[in-house]
Amino acid sequence: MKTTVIRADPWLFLALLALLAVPAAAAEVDEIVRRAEEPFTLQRVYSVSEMSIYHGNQPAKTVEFESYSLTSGGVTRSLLVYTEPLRMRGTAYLTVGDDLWVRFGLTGRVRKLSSAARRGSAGGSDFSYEDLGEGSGGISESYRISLLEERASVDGRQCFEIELVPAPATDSTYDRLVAYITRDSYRYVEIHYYESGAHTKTLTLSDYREVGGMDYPFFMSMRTHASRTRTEIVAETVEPDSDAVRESMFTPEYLESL
Amino acid sequence: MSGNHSKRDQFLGKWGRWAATRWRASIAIAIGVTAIMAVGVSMVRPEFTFYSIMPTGSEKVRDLKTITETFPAASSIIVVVDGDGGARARVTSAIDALEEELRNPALSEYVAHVYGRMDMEFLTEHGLMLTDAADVRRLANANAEPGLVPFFRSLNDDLEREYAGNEASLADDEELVIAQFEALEQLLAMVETAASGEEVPADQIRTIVNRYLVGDGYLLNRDNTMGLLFIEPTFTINDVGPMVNGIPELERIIQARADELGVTTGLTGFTVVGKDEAVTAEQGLATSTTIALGLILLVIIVAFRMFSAPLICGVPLVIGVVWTIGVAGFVLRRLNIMTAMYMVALLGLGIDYAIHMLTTYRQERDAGADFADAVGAAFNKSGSGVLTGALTTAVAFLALQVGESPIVRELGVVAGSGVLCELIAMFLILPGLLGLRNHRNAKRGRAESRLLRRVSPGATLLGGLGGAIGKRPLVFALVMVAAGAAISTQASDVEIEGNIMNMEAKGLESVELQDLMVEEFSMAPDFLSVTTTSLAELRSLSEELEELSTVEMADSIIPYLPAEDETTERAREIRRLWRIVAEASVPDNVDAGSLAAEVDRLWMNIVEMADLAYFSDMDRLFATLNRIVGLDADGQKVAETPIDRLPFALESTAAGELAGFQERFAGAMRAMLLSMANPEPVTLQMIPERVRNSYVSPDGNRFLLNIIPKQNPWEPEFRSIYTTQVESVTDRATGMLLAADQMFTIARVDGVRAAIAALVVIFVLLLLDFRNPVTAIVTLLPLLLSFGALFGFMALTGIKFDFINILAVPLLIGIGIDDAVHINHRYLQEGPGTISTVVGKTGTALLLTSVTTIIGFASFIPSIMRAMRSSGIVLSLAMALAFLFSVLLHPAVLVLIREKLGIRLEPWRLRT
Repeated sequence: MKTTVIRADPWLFLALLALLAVPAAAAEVDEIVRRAEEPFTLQRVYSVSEMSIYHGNQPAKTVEFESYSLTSGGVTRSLLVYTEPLRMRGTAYLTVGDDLWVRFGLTGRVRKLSSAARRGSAGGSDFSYEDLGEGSGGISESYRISLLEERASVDGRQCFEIELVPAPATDSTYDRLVAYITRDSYRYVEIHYYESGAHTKTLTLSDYREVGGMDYPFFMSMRTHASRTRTEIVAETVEPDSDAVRESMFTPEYLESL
Repeated sequence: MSGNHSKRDQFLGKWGRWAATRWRASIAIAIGVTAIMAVGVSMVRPEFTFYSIMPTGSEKVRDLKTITETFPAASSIIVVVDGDGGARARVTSAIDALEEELRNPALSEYVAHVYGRMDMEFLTEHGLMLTDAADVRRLANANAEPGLVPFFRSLNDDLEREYAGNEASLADDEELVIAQFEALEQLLAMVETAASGEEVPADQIRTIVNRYLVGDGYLLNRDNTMGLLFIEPTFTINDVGPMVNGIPELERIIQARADELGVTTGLTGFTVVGKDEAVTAEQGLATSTTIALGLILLVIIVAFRMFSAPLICGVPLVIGVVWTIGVAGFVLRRLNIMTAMYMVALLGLGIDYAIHMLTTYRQERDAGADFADAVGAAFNKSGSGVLTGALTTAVAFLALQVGESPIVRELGVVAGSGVLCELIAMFLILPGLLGLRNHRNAKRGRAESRLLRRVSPGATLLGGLGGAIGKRPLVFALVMVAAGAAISTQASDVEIEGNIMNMEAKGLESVELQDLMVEEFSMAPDFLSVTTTSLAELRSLSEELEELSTVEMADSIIPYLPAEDETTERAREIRRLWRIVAEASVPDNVDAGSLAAEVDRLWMNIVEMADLAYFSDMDRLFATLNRIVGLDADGQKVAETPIDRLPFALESTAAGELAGFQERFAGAMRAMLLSMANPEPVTLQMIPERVRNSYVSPDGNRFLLNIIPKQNPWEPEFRSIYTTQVESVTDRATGMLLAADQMFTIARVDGVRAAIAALVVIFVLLLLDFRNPVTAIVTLLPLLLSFGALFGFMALTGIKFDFINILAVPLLIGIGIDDAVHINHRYLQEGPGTISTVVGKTGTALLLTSVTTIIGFASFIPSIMRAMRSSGIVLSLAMALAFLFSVLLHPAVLVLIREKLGIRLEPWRLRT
């Protein structure tokens, strides 16, 4: 008897499986990112942080600042006031939506900055205002998300590898971001930033502690690969729903009164 | 002697006997082959230029050649003039004096052009046509009402509009802003002088106004203590002779003049680095190479007790090299830097074959064999080992064909065929020369040499060692495996050198000045470039490239050659400015109160700009602005400056006091603006020669765009990002940096690939040779441990792999395997219980080959060039490790397996 054996092409099978899995994967990745971003959607947050800038491994500059943030009516407001060093004491940056103002500590004058300035370095650090000032929707608010890898490894931790590409009509410095979220606890541990095809910066998040019922990273380090500089932000105090945060703080007039 | 001679051994024995007794025929064959190879040699094109290491046929390499040959500025020698903390004037006058010195026609052999500063005449005539229309409009409005108060008011308006809170804008204009603020600092001092009632000479005012509007054309560092001078040489990095002679000559002249001027100077730029590399590669090596050669000759004479031994080894060795070059000529048509360098290693490999044959010959003669029998026995006993060893080494090199970079694949062809050429030359010529020597001795009635008859180097010691291994094989095996494994645990930490500047001599001035240029002048001396024949494409490329985060600036003719629509718009604004400035009248007096208020406002603007500069690490600007307002880095008041004193001085200034100064100031401003207000379109022919030479080909058809990076591009991490970003805009960018990528690829990818491929192919060869998988696996063990120990040692001592010392990988595979193969063959021939004889006899040859090779490679160690030194260390160490594991571990493992465990090592035979 003649037997015909049909051999299934494993690649074709996997491709079909992937096609079937797309809607489920899309829903899953949204959920992964939503859970990872919960701590970044805290409301009315007051924090005190120390920011250290390193050139190579040498500490170059350390600044301290207080930060106030508030989201209401769909608009994110944040105020960052430098307390150290002496040179920067009283210098403050106010962000309301896409608008940015600066108050200079030594002169006391307030200036409104162009929207292009949001792409610039925040206080000479490796963070840009764009990196720091993401809206209440979290890091992924302005990005299209897709799952690259189910089981990537970062320092021995099993992570989801997720690609974030700027949504159409979004004005972003970056071509794309690749984020690593732990599989067991849904925490961001690393984000890679790509500009013009090159991996230019890496954000590392750690020292997660419970704040307002959520895990919040008390340590963030942004490394700029091209300049071999690194900025570490260590949060000393993080207070959600803080009384220190008042609606009246987020105006240029308040900046002038500082 | 227990005989276990294969047909191959017997054939080789017969061959050796024939070639020695028919020495005329063997030498005649060698001469015939050499004559054929001479044709190949004549076809070889020596390419020892910088380009020879880059991919042949690559469009980028062709572009780079075009750039180097077409744009002399691409080969510029940069002279860093250091005023040793002295005043700005000392630096600028030194630059002028050096420029004059270098323009001396006597130096025209080496100097095509020299530039110490910008062509100020061109800027004075066409400055406004090179300025954005919006800025021309602002300048016109600011000068509608000439005078001190409107000047400072308009300046403050500009600062607040343009820079307030905007670090990015400030960073883009840092150099320009610094130049303007330095001029402003002097202007404030002049106003203060005038406010105190003193007269300020008109020419001083004119100088400062001109400097404020167009700068003074010098390229200085942040505190004006250093400046740059550019020499366009008549040669490029590929003209090795003129480069090596010309640069030191220029250096000497510059140094002598600098001493007279009280400044210090240093030279940099890729041409200078290239010269330093060519010079330092040889420095420190002459003595060590001579000593090494002498030692090797001595070892050979003593070991073989023949004064003619160096000649008997050396002639086939050199002929083997000639044949190798001939093969390279037939196959590749060229020798590049790397394949030429390999010829030295080939001498080291080839002499090993001679040593093995001569050692056995000597041993047989000492045992009483006559000449022909001794040569036959040498080929019979050592020929197989040499043959297999040479084939494995050749395969290890031929495995480089899997490399990514063409230069490595070329090396594979030349090195692989070179080993085979050396093998054939040795098998053909060495017995022939021994026959010739024997014939001459017989003719003269001389017996075998009595030289050093009592000396038997190494044999006794190694025989004793072999005996110890035979008695305690497990101890030797365990100790060696444990030691190898322990060091190997560190092997994964070995790094690859990605910065080729770290391969140069330590403390090399031309390399150190590259970092200084980035720090002090925000200018990297090396960069990628792209050429185009279209100005429109040049413009769009410039715009796109300047958006990249790693690009400081897109440097091209574009700022000097505005587009047609820009020219039309600027011409309109320039005509408007001309009318406004020409018609404006200077007021009779100065409102001191308003002026004081504007000076106060200026103080605040400068402080705020300094804050932004602080945040953005613009150190030069930060220092300049702090100096003007008298603040230290913490913002504390540390000095009183004209900007502080002026408002107070103005309080007591009489109404008409400043009117005279204002009139001269406004007059100078008016004269300069009207001079610059030229609406005539700028054409290529109008542009200063220096600028044209830098960016436009001599036929005017091709334009060069230099993509200046923000950091030193030799740093591998930065270079990777920079090149990736540039490639996102254009795939045609080229530069000397490509060489760095090429070298990094060689070290990172090709070394590993070649090692894996070589190990696989060698394993197959061993299987074919020994026809026993156990023997094949056992033979690989010492090699693998040698690798692990070498990498571990490198990791522990911080020695990195680079594109030169990576040659140790195929060499170690080839030689490491050879040692074990020789022991295998002898052990299988001699039979069980003979390990003492095997180690004593074969070990002596291995010791001699290792000693001569190590002496040769160790002669690189005194080199001041770090790449040569590390190659010397790595290659010597690799050879020493291969010897130790082959002589101490491999015999122990053979004894354990064959004699203790009873596992067959002999070749498997098919049952019939």
